[in-house]
Amino acid sequence: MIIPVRCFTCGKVLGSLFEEYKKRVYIEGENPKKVLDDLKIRRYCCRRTIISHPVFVKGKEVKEPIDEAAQYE
Amino acid sequence: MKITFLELEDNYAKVLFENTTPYFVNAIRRTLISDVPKLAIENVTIYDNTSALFDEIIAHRLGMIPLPTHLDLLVFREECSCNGKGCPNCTVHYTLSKEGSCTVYSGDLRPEDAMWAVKDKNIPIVKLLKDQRLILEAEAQLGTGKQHAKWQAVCGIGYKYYPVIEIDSEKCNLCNECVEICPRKVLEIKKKKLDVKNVEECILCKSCEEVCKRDAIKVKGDENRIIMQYETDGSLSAKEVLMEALKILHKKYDELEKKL
Amino acid sequence: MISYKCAKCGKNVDIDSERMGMKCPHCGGKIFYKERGTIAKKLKAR
Repeated sequence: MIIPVRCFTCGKVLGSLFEEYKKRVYIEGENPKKVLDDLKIRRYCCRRTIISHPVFVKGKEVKEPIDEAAQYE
Repeated sequence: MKITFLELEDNYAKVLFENTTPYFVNAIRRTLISDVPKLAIENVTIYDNTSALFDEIIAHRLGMIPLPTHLDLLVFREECSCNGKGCPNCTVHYTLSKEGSCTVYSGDLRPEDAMWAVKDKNIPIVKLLKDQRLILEAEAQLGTGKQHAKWQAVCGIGYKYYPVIEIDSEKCNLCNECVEICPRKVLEIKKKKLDVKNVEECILCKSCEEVCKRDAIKVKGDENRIIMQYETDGSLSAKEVLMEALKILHKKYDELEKKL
Repeated sequence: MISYKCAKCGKNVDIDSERMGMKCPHCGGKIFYKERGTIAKKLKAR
């Protein structure tokens, strides 16, 4: 899995916003609500797409399932 | 009819229509969704792909990327003088070639002319490990939201009546219950009087009406004033997209008039 | 004769489909990847 290019429900482009979200929430430890508001993700459909995208946090590294899966190729 | 932009950003707009009717604003909404043309990748030729994702998934992800659209320079492929073969008047070519380990971003799509360069350069397409490769060519063409959602220029579009909140200050006993229940925090008590802070935020949910035991508050929608809110995906600006929709709607009404 | 890539040693192996079973002559591995063809693949981005 990789972050969807757009929100499944409304079609807003989210792919480009996820890396900043990932950095600020998982590494810098900011409040997700604040980051989502800063990124102007207004609707709850887009917010759930971002929040529910799974990641693995390993110290300073944040990995997505695609990084894990690709190792077994 | 009077149109005012209450809020206007590059990709977001809140518009107030005055002296209008709901069915007319709905016509504008539907035109915005399904009839405004924009550019999107349609044909992909994949020469090599040894990444973890299937060719089809990569092609689909490419299709979703918003591309800058100059509507005065392009025509629909079906209406083009090249008879649908694909020429510079109806098609924009992109190439992509990357080798791992890296992440392939939308900014790596190389257009034939710098004016077609993707504005939003940070959309990840696929992640490549060492020795994995992705080489492809893509053709973008105009389309409308009617054909496929990737050609839909706006997202999250909706409208509501302009809220009208009437407060009967003789009946009101300043119990504060309506202020607390309002999900948008529209009401406030100021100088021992119930007051409306920001009417436009009201979503006409009528929770305040229900909670009021003395019937002191009435919420109505003004059908002749309508607030519309929408976002664009970045291929056209919020202002351009509305102008284009109005132009298309105008043309349609002209056609109807001629045929009557 | 189709060329496959051995998952164990990574060498390209030609395997005759007439013969029963698949086994890498270099390392004895039994897992193979089918190599991607060299033809360009045309797709609709939908």
